[in-house]
Amino acid sequence: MDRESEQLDRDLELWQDVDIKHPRLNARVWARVANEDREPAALPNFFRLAQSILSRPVYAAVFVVSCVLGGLLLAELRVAQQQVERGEQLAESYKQVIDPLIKDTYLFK
Amino acid sequence: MWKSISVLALGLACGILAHVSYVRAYSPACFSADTGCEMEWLRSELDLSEEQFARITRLHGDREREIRTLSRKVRDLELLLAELEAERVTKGYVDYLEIRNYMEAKRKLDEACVKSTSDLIASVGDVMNMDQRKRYFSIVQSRIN
Repeated sequence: MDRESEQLDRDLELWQDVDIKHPRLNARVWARVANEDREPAALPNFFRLAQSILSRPVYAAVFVVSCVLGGLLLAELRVAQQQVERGEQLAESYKQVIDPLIKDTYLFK
Repeated sequence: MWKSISVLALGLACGILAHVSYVRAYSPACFSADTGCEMEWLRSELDLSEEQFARITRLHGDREREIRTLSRKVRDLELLLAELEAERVTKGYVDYLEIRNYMEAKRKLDEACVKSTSDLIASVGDVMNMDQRKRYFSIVQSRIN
């Protein structure tokens, strides 16, 4: 037990002379100290939860399949967006093909 | 701990692989120096049959030389106007006769361009059915006179 702990023990003993309604004060204080000592090294709640879920084979498989489906969904949205943009470009390009008055047509080249 | 990290990495890798593969397989890609991309796009946009597509491609091909010639004339007139403007700025001299000739040539060329475009649109429209023609006209609406 280091000096700080001994000091804390002495301070806590002083509270025994004070009339307060707080059972097991010493034990509670030490429990909180121990908890605070442990928390920084431990994983945050979210990661603990993720770790416990991913360690099970069924959930791990579900996670991998979800990633694949998510990737495909994003790809579909991206392709749809590209097709809309490409359609607009080609519509403008077609007008340039049929109308000599439009500048920047490939016919100028 | 490491098992969870490897599952996480595997999931992300599979997701990225699926994403990239899908985009590569289905993204629109048409790279052509001539009108190939535009014609292919028109075919899919208007649901043209093979016969319609062949006739419309031929119509565009037949007109290409005329449109190219008109485009060159439009560019030449723009260059002429730029020269006149440069002369006015540098020498302070305005050749009104030349400007009148330019205006006259521009008017005639504009009319020829409009007629060429309208004729092409009308002849292409004749190949299509009612629904296709309606969609085609909505695409080229601003070019119809």
